[in-house]
This record gives sequence, C-alpha cells and structure tokens, in this order.
Amino acid sequence: MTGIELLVLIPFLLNYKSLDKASKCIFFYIISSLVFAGGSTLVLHLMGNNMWFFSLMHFVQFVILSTLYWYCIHNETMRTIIKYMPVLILGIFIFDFFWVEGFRAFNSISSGVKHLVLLVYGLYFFLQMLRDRNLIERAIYIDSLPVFWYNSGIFIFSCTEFLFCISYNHLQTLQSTGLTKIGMTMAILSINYIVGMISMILLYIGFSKIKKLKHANY
Amino acid sequence: MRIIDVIVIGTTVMLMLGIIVILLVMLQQKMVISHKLVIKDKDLQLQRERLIAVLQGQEQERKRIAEDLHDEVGAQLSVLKLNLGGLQPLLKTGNGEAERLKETKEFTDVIIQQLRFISQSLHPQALDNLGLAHALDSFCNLMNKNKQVKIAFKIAGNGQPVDREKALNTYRVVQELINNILKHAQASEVVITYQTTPSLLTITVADNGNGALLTSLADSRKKAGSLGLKNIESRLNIIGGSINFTPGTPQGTIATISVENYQSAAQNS
Repeated sequence: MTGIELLVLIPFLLNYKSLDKASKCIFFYIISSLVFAGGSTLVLHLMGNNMWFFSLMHFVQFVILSTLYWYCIHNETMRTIIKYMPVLILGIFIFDFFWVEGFRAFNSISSGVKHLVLLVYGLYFFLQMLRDRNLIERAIYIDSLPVFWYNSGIFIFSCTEFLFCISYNHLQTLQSTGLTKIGMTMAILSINYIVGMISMILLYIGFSKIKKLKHANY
Repeated sequence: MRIIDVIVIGTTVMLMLGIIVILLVMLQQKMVISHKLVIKDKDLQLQRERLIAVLQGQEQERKRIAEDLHDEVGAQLSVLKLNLGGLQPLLKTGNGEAERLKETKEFTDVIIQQLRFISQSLHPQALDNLGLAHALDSFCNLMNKNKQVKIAFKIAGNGQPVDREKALNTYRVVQELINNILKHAQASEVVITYQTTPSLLTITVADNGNGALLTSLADSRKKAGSLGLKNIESRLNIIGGSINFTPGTPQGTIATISVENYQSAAQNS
C-alpha cells in the first residue's frame, strides 16, 4: 500500500504552496500513512514487535485528522469538542497501552475509539455540507468540493477499519493459540488494504477538485 | 458462525454502509439544489410576467392619454385655430390687431405641433397601422422637426412585418436610445438602419457624437437607480432580443439591436 500513498503524495507535494488548510492536513495525513507503513516494517525488523508503533501512529493520525475536521466544521460546540478530544483520546491510548492490552499487542480499544470518533466527525461533516445554505443557494454540488472527497476517503476507511481494529487484538490471541486459520486473517487484511487504496484514490480525487475550483475562478 | 467470519462480513457490511452514506449525501444534496433551481426559475418567470404586466399597463395608459390628447385637446385646438381664422376679416385695421391675431394663430399652430409630438411619442399610431419600419420613419421625421439633431432612417431588406408586442418594445428601445443620444452624445447626426432577414431583425443606431454614450451606459450599469438602461434591457429581455454597443469610426457610438424570431406565430405559419 506504500506505493499508492507515495503516488498520491507526489501531486500534493508538487502543489504544496497552493494547498488550502484542509488539503495540507491531508498532505500530512498521507505522509503519516507512509511513515506508518514504512516505519512499522522497519520496527518489526529491528525490534521484532511493532505494535507499540501502531498505537503511536494511530494517535498521530487522529491528531492530524482532528485538525482537518477542526478547520472544516463550523459549529462552535463541535469545534470545541474536536479541539479537546485528542486529550481524551490520548488518555485512552495511554491507559490501553500501559494497563489494558499492553505495548506488545494490538491496542484494539484505543484504535477502535479513534475510528469511532472519526466516523462521528465524518458523519457530522456530511450533515453540515447537506445543510449548508451557501452551497445550495450558489448551486455548488458537494462532489465538486475537495473536502467532500477527503471526508469520503477518511469515512470509508474508518468504516472498514473500525470492526477490524476492535477485533484485531482478539484475532492475535486466536492466532497465537492456533485456533484460527491464517487465511481468514489475510482476507480481513486484504479488505483493509483494498479499502486503504480506495481511500487514497478518493483523496487524490479531492486534490484534483482543487485544480478545477481554481480553474473555475471560485 | 465463527468470530472471524463475523468480522469479515461485518467489515464488508460497514464498507457498504460507508459507500451508501456517501452516495446518499451526494444524491440528497443534488436533489435539494435542483429543487431550489426549479423554485428560482419559477420566481424568475413570475418576475417576468409581472414586468410584462407592468409594461402592458404602462402602454395602455400611454395609449389612452395619447388618444385623449389627439382626439379631444387636438380637435379643440383645431377649432380654436379655425375660429381665429374666422375673426381675421372682422378686425379693424390700424391698431396692430391683425398682427396680434396672426401671432396667436401661429402660436396655436406651435401648440398643435407640440401636442402631436407628445401624442406620437406617447403612443405611435403608425405602429398599429403601418408597422415598425414606418413608425420609426415617422418618429425620425417628428424628431427632425423639433430637434437640432438630424436623424436619418434607412431601410434594408423587404421590411417583413414584426409581431405587435415585439414591435412596440423595439420602438421604445430606439426611442430611449435617441433620448440618450440627445442627452449625452452631443451628436449632430444619427443614422437608424432597419434590416430584416426571415429570422432576424437588426436595427443599428449610429451617432457621430463624442462617444460619451458608452461611458454613460457603463456608469448606468453601476448605478442602482438608472432607469433608462434598465428599461432597454427589460424590454429586450421580454422579447428575447439583445443590444450591443460599439464605438463608431471615426467617432460616436453604434448601438445594434437584434431580435430573433421577430415575426408573430401567425405570420410565420
């Protein structure tokens, strides 16, 4: 999956100066995904277990995406919640990391909570776009907005990842006791990889909409 | 069912749900926007109908006043002129009464002329009876009698009949343009060219003035209360026409009015 992330990163990198705040957040999100993918392989080779790195990167990505939603969502109460949510999530991550599932296993609780919160943000943002009078009065279709595609990419990825994340710790236990076939675990991972690629493509579609908006001189 | 199967199915279901949510959001917003556009179109149609009603009311009122002036006041003034003529042989000579009576008669003539001009401006009778080309020609003759500017009228083509509503609105637009030229352009000569093809009516109004008409129109567009240009645009909008202003060579302004499908449905068939 690192390949597609790298490919999507190139146009963002080449047009970095012309990116708006939301697009910059997506740019950093793609970089974090690259670091996540590359770093976890490296950590696995160096230390034999990369689960602690997963927890760390999940939290970093949550902070980046929270910043994106903080820029995009207009409701002040929601913005305040988004602003302080990383603190609460950090608490959950630390608690899960040190006391519940530990740093040698996948932290299902914290990563599940992360995706659940992102799902809520994504849904809220969709609703905000649906009710946006400015867009309706100016007859701007939401599929012409970059942020819609960014949100779609993150939303689809969170939808798929949520169930995987909350169960992966359990799957690891089953695998270690030999109660599950490796094939099914690979199937889940494959679904996640494919959806990861789809979400990257959606992010690229969002990027291509920036160019069209500029061309239309909005 | 094993837990791993539940996860696979659940993940797939979640993915489907995510896709459905995105598609629904897109669809819903598109439906709302198309609904709003329909309402906007209806509003515009309503505004157009109101504008047509206002202009029709205005024309009817103008016609009524023009007919009253022509038939009532004009007839009475003609009788007055005849009476004054009848008084002439009865006057004693020597005290300048004859000269004064002659002056009064001439003054009555001037009033009758002005009354005809006002009546003609309010509602051109020639438009109903002889058509747009003749009405414009008559308007030019009338303006030539009263103003310093020389207005020439040229007709090209066979002058096919124009739909009554379109003819009236086009006439008013030309009238407004001539008024603007008289007010702003400081022109000494205006040429109106009338040209028809089976599907297009083109009238060009070219003046040899200072070209100030272009700047005055640009200013009018910025001003909220500029009625002249709005009147021209509204009338052309109603009849599906357009107007284009270009600088003339070597000086002045050329206004080109184009009206497509200017013939009435009955004439077309």
